[in-house]
Amino acid sequence: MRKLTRLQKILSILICICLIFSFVMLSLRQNSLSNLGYSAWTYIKYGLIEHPLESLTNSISDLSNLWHVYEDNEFLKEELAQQRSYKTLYEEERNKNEDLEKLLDMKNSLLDALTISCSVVQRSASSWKQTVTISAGKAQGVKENMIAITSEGAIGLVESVQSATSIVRLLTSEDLVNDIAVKISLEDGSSVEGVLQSYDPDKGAYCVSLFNNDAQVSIGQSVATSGSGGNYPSGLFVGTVVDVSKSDDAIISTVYVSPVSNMKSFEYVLVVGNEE
Amino acid sequence: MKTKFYIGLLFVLGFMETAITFIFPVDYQYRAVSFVPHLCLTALFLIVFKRNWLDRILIGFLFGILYDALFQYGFSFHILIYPLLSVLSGIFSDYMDQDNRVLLFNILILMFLYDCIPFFIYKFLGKLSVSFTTWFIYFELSTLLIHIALIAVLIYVFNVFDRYEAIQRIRTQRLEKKKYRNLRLSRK
Repeated sequence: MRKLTRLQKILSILICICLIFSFVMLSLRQNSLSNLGYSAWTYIKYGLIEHPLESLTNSISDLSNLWHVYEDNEFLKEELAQQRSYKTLYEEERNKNEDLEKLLDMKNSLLDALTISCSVVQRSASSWKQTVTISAGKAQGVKENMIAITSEGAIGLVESVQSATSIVRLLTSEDLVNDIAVKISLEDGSSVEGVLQSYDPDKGAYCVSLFNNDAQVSIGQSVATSGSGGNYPSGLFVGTVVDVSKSDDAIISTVYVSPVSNMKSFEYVLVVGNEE
Repeated sequence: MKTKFYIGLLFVLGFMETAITFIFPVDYQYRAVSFVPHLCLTALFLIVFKRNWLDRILIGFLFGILYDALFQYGFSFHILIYPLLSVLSGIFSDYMDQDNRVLLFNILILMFLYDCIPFFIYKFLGKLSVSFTTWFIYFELSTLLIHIALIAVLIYVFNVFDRYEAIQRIRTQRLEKKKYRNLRLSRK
């Protein structure tokens, strides 16, 4: 048999040692004592390789998540900004809806009158309290001197009519061409008639002259159209009495009536006239 | 010094293999392309292919035991397959010594065998349901392609070390010669 070289002898001895060691470790695998030695190499491997790599991977993953969180944050900020505008839009639409519901109720209560629904087409800033242009004209049956009302009450008279649009002279205008016949219901059940002649910008109220100066008109009473004269029915709310001016001899000279609450801003209008 | 270099290199390559496997885990469901590094095996072939058959068997056997003990959890088939492949690695040692391309090709073939043997064993035992084509496309092809570069790098590293050792040996011999000349001259 050929003699083994020095290297082969060393290798054989090492193999025997490794085999004995491995068999011993295998046999002690279930014993908790063996775990110390067996686990030592595993801990070294874990400490040198797996843990640093795991830490690096986790750091990169955290950075990536942080970036994703930043992007999500930016997206959500945009969404939130849009939400605020959605809220405003919703409130606007809700207000329009309420307005239109009230106008519909009003239209349903005026079955004997001619009612034409329309919207405000133009209201210039320079003549904000004077006139508005509405989206109904001859084609829809609008005629001059018809009264225009909003969901709160009367706001003006139709001044001129074109084919598809009309101009309404507001009751707060300084140049009110036609007077409006009104009536005030008194506490004793009777009513007193008068005429809405002009608008007092200082007081912010209509000036109404009564036909019966002896009538006991008090603040807070409602003023409505009387239906006498003009092309509109009676019972349309005009305003509320805010002041009563008496002359030197205690006779009522002028009754001041506040306009409807949405006089300064309205979008939908009902043009009311007498049914022919 | 060569032995220390080989032992150190094998340990480093063993750690590198563990790190690569940790970073790029193998997809054993064969849905994505993956690969397994065989750096230690490549280094083993490069160490043993010039040696005689008994050296190859003993080194392969020792290496298989150490690999199983240190980098695997318990006994595996490495203590059998490493000596077998080590013997096969030295069959064309003359040609491999002359041409690095033959060396690279031979190591790739052995690596392919190293991956095929357990595949067919598990397939025969019914523990593997994936087809050979799927296994080759999703696993073995990428392993072989990546190892072309890795083996080339390792061959270069070994060649550099061999050249370094040769230079050191020549320097030592020159110093020895100089020493003996000086001794002879001093005696005269």
